[in-house]
Amino acid sequence: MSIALADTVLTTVLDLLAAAAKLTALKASKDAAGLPITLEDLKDARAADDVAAAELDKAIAAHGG
Amino acid sequence: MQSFSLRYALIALFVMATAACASLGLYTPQTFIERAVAAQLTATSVRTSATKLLNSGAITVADAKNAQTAASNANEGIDIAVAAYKAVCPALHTTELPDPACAAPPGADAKLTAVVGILQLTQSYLKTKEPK
Repeated sequence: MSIALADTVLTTVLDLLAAAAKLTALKASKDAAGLPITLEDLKDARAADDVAAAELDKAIAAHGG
Repeated sequence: MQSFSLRYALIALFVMATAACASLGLYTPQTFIERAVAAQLTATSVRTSATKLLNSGAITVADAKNAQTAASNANEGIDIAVAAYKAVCPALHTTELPDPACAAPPGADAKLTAVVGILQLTQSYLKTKEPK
Protein backbone atom coordinates (compact mmCIF):
# COMPACT_ATOMS: atom_id res chain seq x y z
CA MET A 1 0.00 0.00 0.00
CA SER A 2 1.37 3.44 -0.89
CA ILE A 3 1.85 6.13 1.72
CA ALA A 4 -0.99 8.13 0.14
CA LEU A 5 -3.40 5.21 0.40
CA ALA A 6 -2.27 4.40 3.94
CA ASP A 7 -2.89 8.03 4.82
CA THR A 8 -6.40 7.81 3.36
CA VAL A 9 -7.15 4.69 5.41
CA LEU A 10 -5.86 6.32 8.56
CA THR A 11 -7.81 9.53 8.07
CA THR A 12 -10.98 7.54 7.34
CA VAL A 13 -10.62 5.57 10.57
CA LEU A 14 -10.04 8.85 12.40
CA ASP A 15 -13.18 10.31 10.80
CA LEU A 16 -15.22 7.41 12.11
CA LEU A 17 -13.87 7.94 15.61
CA ALA A 18 -14.19 11.71 15.27
CA ALA A 19 -17.94 11.78 15.88
CA ALA A 20 -17.59 10.04 19.24
CA ALA A 21 -14.57 12.17 20.11
CA LYS A 22 -16.41 15.39 19.24
CA LEU A 23 -19.34 14.40 21.46
CA THR A 24 -16.89 13.62 24.27
CA ALA A 25 -15.26 17.05 23.86
CA LEU A 26 -18.64 18.80 23.72
CA LYS A 27 -19.79 17.03 26.88
CA ALA A 28 -16.59 17.97 28.68
CA SER A 29 -16.92 21.65 27.73
CA LYS A 30 -20.59 21.72 28.72
CA ASP A 31 -19.85 20.01 32.03
CA ALA A 32 -17.13 22.57 32.71
CA ALA A 33 -19.67 25.35 32.16
CA GLY A 34 -22.29 23.53 34.24
CA LEU A 35 -24.64 23.29 31.26
CA PRO A 36 -26.41 20.34 29.60
CA ILE A 37 -26.17 19.49 25.90
CA THR A 38 -29.27 21.05 24.32
CA LEU A 39 -31.04 21.34 20.99
CA GLU A 40 -28.92 24.45 20.34
CA ASP A 41 -25.92 22.12 20.18
CA LEU A 42 -27.85 19.96 17.71
CA LYS A 43 -28.41 23.06 15.56
CA ASP A 44 -24.68 23.80 15.63
CA ALA A 45 -23.92 20.19 14.65
CA ARG A 46 -26.42 20.47 11.76
CA ALA A 47 -24.73 23.66 10.55
CA ALA A 48 -21.39 21.83 10.47
CA ASP A 49 -23.07 18.95 8.63
CA ASP A 50 -24.39 21.39 6.00
CA VAL A 51 -20.81 22.49 5.37
CA ALA A 52 -19.66 18.84 5.07
CA ALA A 53 -22.54 18.13 2.66
CA ALA A 54 -21.51 21.08 0.47
CA GLU A 55 -17.91 19.82 0.44
CA LEU A 56 -19.05 16.36 -0.64
CA ASP A 57 -21.25 17.88 -3.36
CA LYS A 58 -18.24 19.85 -4.58
CA ALA A 59 -16.08 16.71 -4.66
CA ILE A 60 -18.80 14.78 -6.52
CA ALA A 61 -19.05 17.58 -9.10
CA ALA A 62 -15.26 17.70 -9.45
CA HIS A 63 -15.26 13.99 -10.26
CA GLY A 64 -17.90 14.39 -12.93
CA GLY A 65 -20.93 13.45 -10.85
CA MET B 1 -40.31 -10.87 9.57
CA GLN B 2 -37.65 -9.01 7.60
CA SER B 3 -38.30 -5.73 9.40
CA PHE B 4 -38.22 -7.65 12.71
CA SER B 5 -34.73 -8.97 11.90
CA LEU B 6 -33.58 -5.56 10.70
CA ARG B 7 -34.78 -3.97 13.90
CA TYR B 8 -32.73 -6.43 16.00
CA ALA B 9 -29.72 -5.96 13.72
CA LEU B 10 -29.92 -2.19 14.21
CA ILE B 11 -30.25 -2.56 17.97
CA ALA B 12 -27.26 -4.94 18.02
CA LEU B 13 -25.21 -2.44 16.02
CA PHE B 14 -26.20 0.34 18.41
CA VAL B 15 -25.20 -1.75 21.44
CA MET B 16 -21.87 -2.72 19.86
CA ALA B 17 -21.09 0.90 18.99
CA THR B 18 -21.96 2.01 22.51
CA ALA B 19 -19.71 -0.69 23.99
CA ALA B 20 -16.88 0.28 21.62
CA CYS B 21 -17.09 3.94 22.64
CA ALA B 22 -17.02 3.06 26.33
CA SER B 23 -13.99 0.80 25.89
CA LEU B 24 -12.08 3.64 24.17
CA GLY B 25 -12.87 6.07 26.98
CA LEU B 26 -15.26 8.05 24.81
CA TYR B 27 -18.42 9.53 26.28
CA THR B 28 -21.55 7.46 25.75
CA PRO B 29 -24.63 9.69 25.22
CA GLN B 30 -27.08 9.37 28.10
CA THR B 31 -30.03 11.55 27.13
CA PHE B 32 -32.19 11.78 24.03
CA ILE B 33 -30.65 15.10 22.97
CA GLU B 34 -27.13 13.75 23.46
CA ARG B 35 -28.04 10.75 21.27
CA ALA B 36 -29.49 13.12 18.65
CA VAL B 37 -26.27 15.18 18.64
CA ALA B 38 -24.23 11.94 18.38
CA ALA B 39 -26.33 10.83 15.41
CA GLN B 40 -25.80 14.22 13.73
CA LEU B 41 -22.04 14.06 14.28
CA THR B 42 -22.05 10.53 12.81
CA ALA B 43 -23.87 11.76 9.69
CA THR B 44 -21.19 14.42 9.28
CA SER B 45 -18.41 11.84 9.69
CA VAL B 46 -20.02 9.76 6.91
CA ARG B 47 -19.92 12.78 4.58
CA THR B 48 -16.33 13.66 5.58
CA SER B 49 -15.16 10.07 5.03
CA ALA B 50 -16.90 9.88 1.67
CA THR B 51 -15.32 13.18 0.56
CA LYS B 52 -11.81 12.01 1.44
CA LEU B 53 -12.30 8.57 -0.11
CA LEU B 54 -13.71 10.08 -3.31
CA ASN B 55 -10.88 12.60 -3.61
CA SER B 56 -8.32 9.83 -3.13
CA GLY B 57 -10.00 7.68 -5.79
CA ALA B 58 -10.90 4.92 -3.32
CA ILE B 59 -14.63 5.14 -4.01
CA THR B 60 -16.68 5.98 -7.07
CA VAL B 61 -18.97 8.95 -7.60
CA ALA B 62 -21.92 6.54 -7.17
CA ASP B 63 -20.57 5.42 -3.78
CA ALA B 64 -20.16 9.06 -2.73
CA LYS B 65 -23.70 9.87 -3.83
CA ASN B 66 -24.99 6.90 -1.83
CA ALA B 67 -23.18 8.16 1.27
CA GLN B 68 -24.52 11.68 0.70
CA THR B 69 -28.08 10.34 0.37
CA ALA B 70 -27.75 8.16 3.48
CA ALA B 71 -26.52 11.10 5.54
CA SER B 72 -29.30 13.37 4.24
CA ASN B 73 -31.89 10.68 5.02
CA ALA B 74 -30.39 10.41 8.50
CA ASN B 75 -30.90 14.15 8.97
CA GLU B 76 -34.56 13.74 8.08
CA GLY B 77 -34.82 10.88 10.58
CA ILE B 78 -33.20 13.02 13.27
CA ASP B 79 -35.69 15.83 12.54
CA ILE B 80 -38.62 13.40 12.87
CA ALA B 81 -37.22 12.01 16.13
CA VAL B 82 -36.71 15.52 17.54
CA ALA B 83 -40.27 16.48 16.57
CA ALA B 84 -41.55 13.37 18.39
CA TYR B 85 -39.41 14.29 21.38
CA LYS B 86 -40.77 17.85 21.48
CA ALA B 87 -44.31 16.47 21.36
CA VAL B 88 -43.63 14.43 24.50
CA CYS B 89 -41.48 17.00 26.29
CA PRO B 90 -42.54 20.42 24.92
CA ALA B 91 -41.36 22.45 27.88
CA LEU B 92 -38.06 20.72 28.41
CA HIS B 93 -36.50 20.62 25.00
CA THR B 94 -34.08 23.49 25.60
CA THR B 95 -32.77 22.43 28.98
CA GLU B 96 -33.70 18.75 29.30
CA LEU B 97 -34.32 18.25 32.99
CA PRO B 98 -33.68 14.73 34.29
CA ASP B 99 -37.24 13.52 33.69
CA PRO B 100 -37.11 9.78 32.80
CA ALA B 101 -39.95 10.17 30.29
CA CYS B 102 -37.96 12.82 28.44
CA ALA B 103 -34.58 11.11 28.74
CA ALA B 104 -35.74 8.40 26.36
CA PRO B 105 -39.21 9.00 24.86
CA PRO B 106 -40.03 5.62 23.24
CA GLY B 107 -41.05 6.66 19.71
CA ALA B 108 -38.35 9.30 19.34
CA ASP B 109 -35.65 7.05 20.77
CA ALA B 110 -36.56 4.16 18.46
CA LYS B 111 -36.32 6.48 15.46
CA LEU B 112 -32.89 7.70 16.54
CA THR B 113 -31.70 4.12 17.06
CA ALA B 114 -32.77 3.29 13.51
CA VAL B 115 -31.00 6.40 12.15
CA VAL B 116 -27.76 5.54 13.96
CA GLY B 117 -27.97 1.94 12.74
CA ILE B 118 -28.32 3.04 9.11
CA LEU B 119 -25.42 5.47 9.46
CA GLN B 120 -23.24 2.73 10.92
CA LEU B 121 -24.16 0.44 8.04
CA THR B 122 -23.13 3.25 5.65
CA GLN B 123 -19.83 3.65 7.49
CA SER B 124 -19.27 -0.11 7.23
CA TYR B 125 -20.03 0.13 3.50
CA LEU B 126 -17.46 2.92 3.12
CA LYS B 127 -14.90 0.89 5.05
CA THR B 128 -15.24 -1.98 2.57
CA LYS B 129 -14.26 0.54 -0.14
CA GLU B 130 -11.07 1.59 1.63
CA PRO B 131 -7.91 0.75 -0.32
CA LYS B 132 -6.21 -2.38 0.98
